[in-house]
Amino acid sequence: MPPSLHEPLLALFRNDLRLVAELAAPLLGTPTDDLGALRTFDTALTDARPLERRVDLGVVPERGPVYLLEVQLRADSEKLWTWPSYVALTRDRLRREIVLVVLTLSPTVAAWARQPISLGPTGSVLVPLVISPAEIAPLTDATEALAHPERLVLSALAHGQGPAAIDIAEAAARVVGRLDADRAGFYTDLILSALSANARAVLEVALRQGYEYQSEFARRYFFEGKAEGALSFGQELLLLSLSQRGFTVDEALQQRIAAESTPDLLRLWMRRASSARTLDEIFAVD
Amino acid sequence: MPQGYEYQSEFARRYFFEGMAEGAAKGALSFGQELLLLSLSQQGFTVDEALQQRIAAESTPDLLRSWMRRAMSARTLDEIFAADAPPPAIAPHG
Repeated sequence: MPPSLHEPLLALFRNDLRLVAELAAPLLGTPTDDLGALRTFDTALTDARPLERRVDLGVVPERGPVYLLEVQLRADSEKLWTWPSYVALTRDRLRREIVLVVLTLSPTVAAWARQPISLGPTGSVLVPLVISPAEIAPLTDATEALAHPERLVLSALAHGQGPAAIDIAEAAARVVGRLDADRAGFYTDLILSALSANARAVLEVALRQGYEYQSEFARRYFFEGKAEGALSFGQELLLLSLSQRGFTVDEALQQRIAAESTPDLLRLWMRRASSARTLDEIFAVD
Repeated sequence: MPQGYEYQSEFARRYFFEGMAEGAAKGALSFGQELLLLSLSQQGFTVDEALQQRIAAESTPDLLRSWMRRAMSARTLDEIFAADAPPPAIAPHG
């Protein structure tokens, strides 16, 4: 298992904002087909103690409750104090109903987090909605996995050591090569690390198998790397040329160049940089 | 991918990361060579076949960087390229 799964798990929920609502909805008995557009909100809840009052992820659907997600890999009694404040502050700020979702991979942590948190002697309580492996369905259908790769990864993390591991590996084998390059490597790595030895072997063999498939697979990542390598070296050479010609490149222009992802524009800028007398001659028209 | 994420599985590293890194190196070189040629022709230098081939064969990003830097202020092609002349061909024995 990776040293800490906190950030990788959180990345799944950031990559697929529907995920938290889809996991929570069956437990809440609410529909998920009417969420509308989803956005995140700045999760630093107060200015006074921003570090201590930071929820992992806030997801705001157009309709239905707002989800506050906490990825909780181990029990932490401090959270029994901070969680109610997350809920109250968000409720006040957004004027919406709030669901605090606690995601964990450990049944022990799940049992701890499920306990209603008493807020005082009048019966006010906060009840977190806990998503543990028991609430995460093993995802073994390749079509569904391709549509929801984050759920596939979560399912591998939750059930990679259980009886569904081989089926999850087989679904993964048909999906990971079709993801964009950034997610493919990251997700395959998470899945492989979570699977039992047997299931891992199934996935590795399947990915190696079939020369044609494998080469297509490798080629895609090679070409994606190639495009990125070209851009970043091109940007670097352009900056280098500008400073060599004595131009002062301020922060804003630096950022504009670093953000440029069109090779043609870099070619044009480089050509102009070779003869222009002012930065405006190079950059003003684009 | 979260920043600073390190691959846990050797397999995933090989299949994804190394392929991309290899592609990145190739892409950097060929775009760098192209930008250098563009810049030279923009400045009115005539790049003959031999020099074209020399640039296209160059696989050291550092050398491309220094050529590009010199190309920005040089007045002759020699000022750019002479210092890094390729080693003379080895004369055949006999």
